[in-house]
Amino acid sequence: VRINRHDDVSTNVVVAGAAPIQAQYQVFFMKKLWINAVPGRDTNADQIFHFHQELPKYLRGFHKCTKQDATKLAAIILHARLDNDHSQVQAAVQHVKDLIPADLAKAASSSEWKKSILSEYKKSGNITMEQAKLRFLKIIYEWPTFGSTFFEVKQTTEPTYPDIILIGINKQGVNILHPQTKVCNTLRFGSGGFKCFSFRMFWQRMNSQS
Amino acid sequence: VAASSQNYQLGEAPFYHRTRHFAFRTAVPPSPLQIPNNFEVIFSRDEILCQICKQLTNNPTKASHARGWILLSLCIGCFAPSDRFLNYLRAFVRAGPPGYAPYCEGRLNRTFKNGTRTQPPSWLELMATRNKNPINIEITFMDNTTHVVEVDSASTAEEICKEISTKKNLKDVFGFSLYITLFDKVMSLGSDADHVMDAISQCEQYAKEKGQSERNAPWKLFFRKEIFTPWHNPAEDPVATGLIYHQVVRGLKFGEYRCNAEGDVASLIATQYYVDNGAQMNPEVLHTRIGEYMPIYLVKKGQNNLDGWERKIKDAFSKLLCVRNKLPPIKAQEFMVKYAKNTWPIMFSKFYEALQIGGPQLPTKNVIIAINWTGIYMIDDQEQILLELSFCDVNLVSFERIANSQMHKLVLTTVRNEEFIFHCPEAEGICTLIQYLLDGLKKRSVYVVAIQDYKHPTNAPSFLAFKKGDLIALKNGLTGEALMSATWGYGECHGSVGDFPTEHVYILPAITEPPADILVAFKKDGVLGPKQPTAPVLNTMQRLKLYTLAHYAAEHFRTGKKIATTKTSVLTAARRASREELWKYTNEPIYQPHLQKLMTNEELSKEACSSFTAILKYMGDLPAPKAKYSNEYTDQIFSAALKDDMLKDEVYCQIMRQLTFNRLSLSEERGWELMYLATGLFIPSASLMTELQKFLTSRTHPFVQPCLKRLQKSQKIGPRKYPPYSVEVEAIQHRSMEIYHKIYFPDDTDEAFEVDSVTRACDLCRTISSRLELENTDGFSLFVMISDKVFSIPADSFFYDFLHELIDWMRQTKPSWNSAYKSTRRCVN
Repeated sequence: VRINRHDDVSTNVVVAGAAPIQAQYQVFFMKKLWINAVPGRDTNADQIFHFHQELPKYLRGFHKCTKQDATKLAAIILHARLDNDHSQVQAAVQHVKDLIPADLAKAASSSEWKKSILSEYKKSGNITMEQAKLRFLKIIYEWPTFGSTFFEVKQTTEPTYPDIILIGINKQGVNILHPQTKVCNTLRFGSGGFKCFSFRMFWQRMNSQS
Repeated sequence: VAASSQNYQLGEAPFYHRTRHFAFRTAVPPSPLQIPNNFEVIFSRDEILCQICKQLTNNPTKASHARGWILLSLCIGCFAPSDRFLNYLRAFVRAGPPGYAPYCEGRLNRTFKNGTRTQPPSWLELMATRNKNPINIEITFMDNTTHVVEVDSASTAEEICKEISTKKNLKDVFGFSLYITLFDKVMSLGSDADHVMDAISQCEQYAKEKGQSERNAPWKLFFRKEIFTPWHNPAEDPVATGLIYHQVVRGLKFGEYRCNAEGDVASLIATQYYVDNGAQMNPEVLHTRIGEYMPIYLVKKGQNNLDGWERKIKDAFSKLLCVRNKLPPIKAQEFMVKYAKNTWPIMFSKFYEALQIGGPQLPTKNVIIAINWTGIYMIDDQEQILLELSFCDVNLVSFERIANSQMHKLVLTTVRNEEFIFHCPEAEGICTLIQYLLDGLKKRSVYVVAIQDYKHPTNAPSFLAFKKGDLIALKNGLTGEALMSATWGYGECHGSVGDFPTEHVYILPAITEPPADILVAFKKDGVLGPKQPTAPVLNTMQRLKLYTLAHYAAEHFRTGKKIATTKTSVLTAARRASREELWKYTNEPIYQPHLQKLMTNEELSKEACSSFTAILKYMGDLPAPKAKYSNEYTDQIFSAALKDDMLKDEVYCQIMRQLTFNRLSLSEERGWELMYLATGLFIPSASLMTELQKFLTSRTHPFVQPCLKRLQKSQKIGPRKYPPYSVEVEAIQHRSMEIYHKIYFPDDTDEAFEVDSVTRACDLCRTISSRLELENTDGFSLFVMISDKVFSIPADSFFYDFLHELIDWMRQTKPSWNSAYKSTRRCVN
């Protein structure tokens, strides 16, 4: 089994357009475990950490999300970026990739996406950056994969699963996801009492249970 | 009287004659204001002041009262009262009439600052005091420009030179002095504490002696170059060069400076012509102006035909380097200054009268000591050089103040161990000047001479081998200055190059290769043997208070090897001296650990020895290449100790040892850096902890308190797992005890937070959370992004430990990483 760890952290740095690494390293302070991350409870944590860490995962397409939700969220992301500066909206909406999950990009043409996002944006009226970030989190929070750390896993033993699967770990447990359909198979912590000594062990244990 | 002993004339006037020293101070008829100025009679100074004060108290006569106050301010301008009387006098002056009170108090303060005068007040001062006017005097420069300075009774040559230098934008001020001339007499006031008014007062007395009125005494003050440094470079300061150039031009004209060859005279005049008129030789101009240029002594009275000289000058002109290369005029001036420095060293000397009282006999006891850039000369009153010492000949110069006397003792010791002793009023000034020149030469010197045989025990070819008296030329841009603070030097001897211990050599005060006869002196026995501890920073009493590991060593250290007592060692405390003292600084590597308890474990013993070698390298006590990365040597020192508690004690003992009686300030400073780093890593065992605390608290180094604080924290939080991270090492090497680390946040912002050696990830998380006003730290963590990887720092891990481990790992797994990390390519494998 080979693990490709798509850490939310590194992705975020690239999305945020961090300057080329000049120092030998950079030290980040970030949310690691999303146990008590309830949107609205800690304003500063939401604004500085939760939104900025969840957004890249969302855009990579790790969550199961409908086209409708994606349009709504894209409008909210625009609000979070523009902070009521409506003059910039035409320019901002050009980069559809920065607004919708990667796996939905082909669900409609680029101009269709732009059109629906813009109409959703106009419908929602004035929303400040802070409000938009919170609204985004509140929607994502309802999903079972909220606050996960995702791993792309290449499996070699289970013929019924595709070669590459996606594993997301959050407070709910371990979610095994089909990379395209995002059909979720949740393994709740404490339910089977399994231990994660190594990925191989964990994999076998999971096999035996399914 | 002292002021007049540095006498020297300048070729100012046609009545130039070559008597170098003279006295303004022939029997002076007692002036109405003759003031006792013997040092023994401080009592009588107070007496005089008391008498004046008395006459000023309830004095009904207006005129007498006014004259009394003038007298009092004159006196105060010349000498200060004793400490006992000072406050009474100050109070008396303050209560005086408003016209005099602040004026007198100002003068009192000035006299107190600049010291007592040696001469009675001058007529000039008397006039100024009567009208309470400032005194303005004119200083003439060698280019005939003048500058007026305001002075008072207390003004010193130093103050005036300083003012002039600032006004003239003169940078290279050394060797410029104030001179005073009267009739055919010239006197240097130097550029130090001599009072200008003393000199003027002497001139007035001398004029009176010659039957002139003191008020018309035609004295004149000049500002000119008195002495060059051996390393003088005319290109350094064009202002200084301009002044010296005009001094030389003027001296040539009046015969002060004379050339032996006519060709030189022609060249010098050609150079002047070039400075004045440029590269085009116009025979007409030369013909009309040759009279201005020619030295007076070379032109016979009534001689009009100078055709021969004109030819010679034209010839010399065409050969001038400046003319041929069209150099700027300033270069021509520089050439002239260089020529003067090299041709007339004795004319650019400081002269001191002295009486020889000991040492190898000179033909006469009364000598003049001339000091210039080439060396030190003893001259008799016939200008015969009795003795010549180059700076290389001088080993030591010192002076001794003799109480209640104007004569002080000056001792000059040569490298041949001759000791010349003189009595001289300016012993201190001579000593300071020679010392300044010696120090300057040694700093710039690239020549050292062996004072002991040396051969490295291993015969390794990277070390020099030499015999006492061998000349070593420093290499790799090393100079005497760098050598003074180093334990190892690098140089060439007998055609081979290598490292050598600096305590085996003596830095020669020479910029050019010293003559062989100097080296012969160093070959002899008894001359400059093994160095005695030079200039200990702390005296013995202070040293005794410094806590050492002596007692701890007796109990816990292995027994030192027996060492053969050398001839030079003093045989007191024989029992101790015969053993190697393992708790005192050394620059030799060890082959066994210090602690007895480690002796049985071969592996730990080895680790102990290699950590000590790394300490020697870090502190510069053993020649070693520059660390490849800042924590290379510290890793070697601390890595093993972090894994074993016994080695922790050993490392502390090693550092304390190297900080005990370490006479090399650079090495000691680096030792303190190690101590600082160690205290942030781990603590020693309880028994050694007590020793360490005593060791630290008995010392005054600025690191002591920070070290104690770090020990406390380390004790509370526990030991680190890794040696200091490079940032920690670099910070303390720059004497910075606070390190701020940049932390990035997901929203693309960042902030700097203080992180010290004992900061754990969870500590930093708490600090950040509270700064960002987060509700709690649950679920937050620190991450390090390096190359294409991201790592989370475990909460209980020390921040720098984690970074150290990570960088080590990167270095091992990706040797090319150091150069490749700049690439921003992200690869997912």
